[in-house]
Amino acid sequence: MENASYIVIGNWQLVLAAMLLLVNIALSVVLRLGLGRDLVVGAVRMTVQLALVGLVLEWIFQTRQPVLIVLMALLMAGLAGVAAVQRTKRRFPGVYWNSLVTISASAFLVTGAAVTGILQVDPWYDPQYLIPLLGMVLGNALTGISLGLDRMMEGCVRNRNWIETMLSHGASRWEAAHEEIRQALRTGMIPTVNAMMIMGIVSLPGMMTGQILAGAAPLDAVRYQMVIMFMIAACTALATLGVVVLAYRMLFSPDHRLMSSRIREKR
Amino acid sequence: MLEVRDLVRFIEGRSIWPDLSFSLRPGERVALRGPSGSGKTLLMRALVGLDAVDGGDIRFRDRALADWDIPEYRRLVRYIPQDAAFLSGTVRQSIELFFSFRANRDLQPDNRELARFLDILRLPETFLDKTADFLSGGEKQMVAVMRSLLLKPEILLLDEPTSNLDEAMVGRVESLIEDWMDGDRQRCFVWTSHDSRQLDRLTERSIELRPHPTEV
Repeated sequence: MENASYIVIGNWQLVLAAMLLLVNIALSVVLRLGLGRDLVVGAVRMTVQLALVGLVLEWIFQTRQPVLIVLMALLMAGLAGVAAVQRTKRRFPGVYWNSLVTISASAFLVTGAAVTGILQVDPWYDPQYLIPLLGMVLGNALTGISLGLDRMMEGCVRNRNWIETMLSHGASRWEAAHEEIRQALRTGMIPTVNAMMIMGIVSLPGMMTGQILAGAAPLDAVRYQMVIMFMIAACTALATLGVVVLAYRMLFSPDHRLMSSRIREKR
Repeated sequence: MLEVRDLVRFIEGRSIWPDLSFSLRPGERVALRGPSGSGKTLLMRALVGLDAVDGGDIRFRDRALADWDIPEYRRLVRYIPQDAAFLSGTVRQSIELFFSFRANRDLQPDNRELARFLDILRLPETFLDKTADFLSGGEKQMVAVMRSLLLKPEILLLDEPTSNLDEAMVGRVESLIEDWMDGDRQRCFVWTSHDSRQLDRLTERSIELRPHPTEV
């Protein structure tokens, strides 16, 4: 990337940027705000994590081995699936499994459709497209899954009485769970819907900004942003629906019983 | 009509209701008696399949519980919990919602029947347009019983159905149940209450639950 159309950031420039934060840390120490420690830990973590990811990506981009790229994609999906569950307040048996299956299936489906059908990337595993698209889709699906799961379990615990009243008056498990499922889906989709609502007005999306910084024409960057938002919305809806329906099957037994005892508070 | 044989459930390693067998026959009025913690509520929940059991048989109309379509079964064998819940809309919406379930699809909300029930409970018709959130505990119990009866059950399992009612209202709920019993000779009920005089007055025989021997 010798003749890149953007300014390459050198080490000194990085240090200068870090100075911006140093000023704040100094202020926090002087005024005893207690923010200093968190800021330092956060900044160091960010630097180390990004540097490592950069090295791995650089390596993958150079080798361009499909096996490596697919392994990287699987690893990303796995981490996202686990992280989605770790953000929830309650657990039930098999919750990690549910999350892993739905996030992988929905993210691979949507990203696959995008790289092969919409963008027609050749070869389909070209990491320049596959990895960033998958990463963004996963990040958003993760939020949808954790919010949806949380709301579903919360609803089943809080409305247990009403659910069981319906069940004992002849409701099937689906009829009794329907409202909880609806609410869980809505909750999982809220961040994505809100993001689309305000996009371009209140916030300039990070990916679009990045492309513009890298020298892309703003209108081209906008088109990419639109495609990625459609992908994100589709994938989040699919993943939230999938994980909520799997949770429903775990929390409501085939003989129409609410399995409250399966829900456990996180230690 | 309903037969229970050797029903077993373990909680924390001990069996609640040791050696429990009984049957309910058409037209019977049965008291379920036992000290607090003897598992009366758990037994009623088990009878309608809201809790799993660890052994034994429940048969209704000579068919095992496992062979019934459970929503269909629960339409006929109706458990009314002590603290039955409501939709956060009007009383009428809470009643009508239950008619939308597939198992109740052949039933219609019967306004004449409803008017008669309100009459027995001496509640004004405007009561149906009250928001369920603002009902008192006693009013909720009355509506819960009325709502259940509109769905035409065959067996009623009543868990302390009058625990939040004052004396005058207790009598009205009792007459509502008696009125329901008079409607069909096949019907029967099981009733739990802390008031043993109420049980003596309403029922003709008892199922006794004993506390576990190690606890006595």
